[in-house]
Amino acid sequence: MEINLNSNGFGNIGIGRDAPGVNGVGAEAETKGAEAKPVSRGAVTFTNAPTGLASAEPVADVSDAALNRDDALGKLVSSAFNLPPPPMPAFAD
Amino acid sequence: MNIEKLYGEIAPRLTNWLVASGSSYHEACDLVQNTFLKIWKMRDDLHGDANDVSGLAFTIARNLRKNAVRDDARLSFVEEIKDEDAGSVGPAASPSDSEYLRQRLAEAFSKLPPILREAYTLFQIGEMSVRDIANQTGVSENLVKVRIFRAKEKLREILSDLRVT
Repeated sequence: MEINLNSNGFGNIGIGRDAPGVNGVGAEAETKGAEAKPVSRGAVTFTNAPTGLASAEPVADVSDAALNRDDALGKLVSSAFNLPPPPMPAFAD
Repeated sequence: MNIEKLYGEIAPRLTNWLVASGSSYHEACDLVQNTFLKIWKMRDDLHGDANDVSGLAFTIARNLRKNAVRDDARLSFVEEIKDEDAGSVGPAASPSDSEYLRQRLAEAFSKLPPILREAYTLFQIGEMSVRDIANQTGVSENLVKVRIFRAKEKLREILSDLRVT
């Protein structure tokens, strides 16, 4: 039985849908082994994990702009979580 | 070590991070105070660098909370945090008020996978650098960035009715 271990563009290793006897397994597999190339999705470029090595999470380069703390979501979160700290405790020796 | 200065710099971020990541406001206040009492006891071994102490404070607070959760499983993501409890914001008058937003955001955070929630809340609310989060969580800086990015995407999806872009 031939099993192709492919990168699906998200860094995860899938089993090719065209592998005999394992149709439907790893249905997200998009590319095959050596043909796999980085996939750009907006601000993130996903890099393929080496064929044959399983990766739990994608490896990627995320632009600094995508991590902006001051975008609309960031401002919303920061304004909502602006609670005062408790009084400082008495520090005794 | 200027403990007062460090408290002023770190305690607000730590308090809000604890609330955003599941503690009630009162629990967060207890944790922050206990964290700094521990830091005070360790002061002879610390050099007082704000970044180092900040990382240590978040680590201690996280561990103290883990112990408390182990004892009585009291995380309360959707607990309402009333403005009068916090004392710094005005009374609720419309759904757009901070009290409503905190509730919505706390619910949204609770729907994130824990690793995404941790990375995002440490970054946005804890105001920690990607490098410090990587050190705290034991993963690469790239992976921290991915987790923050994915958390933001997921939050925008969950909060789509608020039209957060």
